Amino acid sequence: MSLALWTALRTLRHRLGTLLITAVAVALATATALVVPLVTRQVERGAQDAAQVFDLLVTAPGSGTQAVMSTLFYLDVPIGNMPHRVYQNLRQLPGTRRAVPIALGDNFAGFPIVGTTAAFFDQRLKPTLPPYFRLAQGRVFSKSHDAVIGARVARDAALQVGRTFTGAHGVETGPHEDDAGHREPYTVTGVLAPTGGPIDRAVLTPIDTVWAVHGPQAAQARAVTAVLYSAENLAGIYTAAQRVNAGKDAMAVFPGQVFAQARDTLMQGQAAYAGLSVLVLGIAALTVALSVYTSSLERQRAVALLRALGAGRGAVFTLVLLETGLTVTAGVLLGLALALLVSSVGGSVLGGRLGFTLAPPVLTWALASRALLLIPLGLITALPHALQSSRVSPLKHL
Amino acid sequence: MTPAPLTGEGLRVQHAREVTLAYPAFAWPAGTHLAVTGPSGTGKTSLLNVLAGLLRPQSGRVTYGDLILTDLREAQRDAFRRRHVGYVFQDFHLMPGLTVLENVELALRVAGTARAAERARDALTRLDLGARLRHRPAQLSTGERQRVAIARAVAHRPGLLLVDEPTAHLDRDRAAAAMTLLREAAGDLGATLIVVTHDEAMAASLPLRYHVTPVPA
Repeated sequence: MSLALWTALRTLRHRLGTLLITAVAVALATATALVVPLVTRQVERGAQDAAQVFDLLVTAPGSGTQAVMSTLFYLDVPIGNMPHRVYQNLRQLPGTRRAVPIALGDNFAGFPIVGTTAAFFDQRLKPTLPPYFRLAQGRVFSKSHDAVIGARVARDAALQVGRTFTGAHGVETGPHEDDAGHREPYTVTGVLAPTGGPIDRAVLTPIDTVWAVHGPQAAQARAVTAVLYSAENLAGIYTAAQRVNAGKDAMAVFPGQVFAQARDTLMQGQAAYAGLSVLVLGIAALTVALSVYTSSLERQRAVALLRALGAGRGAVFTLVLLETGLTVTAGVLLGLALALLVSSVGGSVLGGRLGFTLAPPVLTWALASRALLLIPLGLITALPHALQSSRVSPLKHL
Repeated sequence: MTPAPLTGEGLRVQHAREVTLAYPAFAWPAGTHLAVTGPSGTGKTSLLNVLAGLLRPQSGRVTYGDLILTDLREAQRDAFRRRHVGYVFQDFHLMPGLTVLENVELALRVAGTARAAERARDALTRLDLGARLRHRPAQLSTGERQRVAIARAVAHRPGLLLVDEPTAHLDRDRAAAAMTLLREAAGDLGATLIVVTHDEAMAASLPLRYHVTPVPA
């Protein structure tokens, strides 16, 4: 081990308090600068994965974001229902590959009951790929009050194939005036394999069941909350979207587009946060500068002694830079670990609330370099002190 | 390192802003043990610093064997110090954050000596500090701290052992013991021992004396 490193490690050990304060300040700044971008990217990736299975979403006219959030993520109140003919028209459009109706309105223990058809299980990321939603147990529903439940529903409600449960009116939990019509139990016929997406929280049942439990009027109207539409080619999807948007009964939105808009909004917030991060990193750099300054005062006699023993200027110069470099590096590494830990825990909590499983945080080079920048910054801060220490006469401080 | 003769002539050192001191010429064979005496402020410690290559004189010439110390550049004087000089400072100047063993090991590492920790342990054990290796300087008595400083000065086997006021912090008995220790250590190495002292008894215990008198230049 070199003289400078040997001495630096021992002097840092002696100044453990200062070292810890500086390292923790750097670590906190690093973590602060990284946590939000890390979690944002986790959410982006999770939401992208959850949304990309659907080409075109058709709902009642209103906010595109609300349409996506309510019918794809089950996180908002649906805009309203559309006449059944919207669904029929879409089915009959030339070039239609699939039109999957969705009817929302009930819940089981807070999990949305989604009325749909068996075509729902045929949705794919690409036509050549196998169906996206795969059954882990049982079979697809075939008759009224059959239910295929998401993986999280099965886990949280301890349900399995053959078990029954009762739904409640409304997309959220709580007693409602007309719960009386929802007393007929559902029977679990299948459990979906986990997807990490919002479908894990859904209870899928034949759409006729949803209409039936809401009374004869609903059964007759056969209104749908949304239609998930897919055409044989991209042009077909755009044609369908144009047709729908030309009418007054419904609107068509591209989930990917809505997601991109939401992302843009998110990015504006991120830009403000990035400014704040720079400020926090600046404060950390100042802490390093202060630490270098106070250490240099403590270091004067040690440096003088080293020089008196015969250590050259280079060794002293390296020693000062090494002490700072090691302190800042320890802080940055601690900060990176802290950022990953916080974003992992935070991502898991946030994913739970958003209804989809977030992928583990990925520390990209671009993100890590923001924090790693503190190391050369710290070394630059230490440079004048390193030069001064190496030039001062040993006799001055002995 | 092999001890070498030490000579000096025409040596003048700026002592204070307007005071320059002149030193009598000297020529000491290798292995000489001598005391540097004289009133306060006559530049005894400055002379040690010149001999250690820590201070450049205003003029004059100092040689150590074939080396002309006064002609050496700073990096060469650093190298001279780490190879040939052992210096026991008046205030010892041990590093408070290092253990006793590490303080000695540090000097050996500066000198580039192999097996530094092992040799530091040996040096300390020879000075009866084997039980204090893991202690910090603050945990030692003054006498023990001085012995650590001596161990640090001799561990890399220098040819020139410079000692500044070794009895300043010690009572008479301990001072005598320290002096014996220094002479034994220098004797073992065959090193030239130069001791700056105010203590007449100590100076008298050494075979040679170099008396510095106030001679304003």
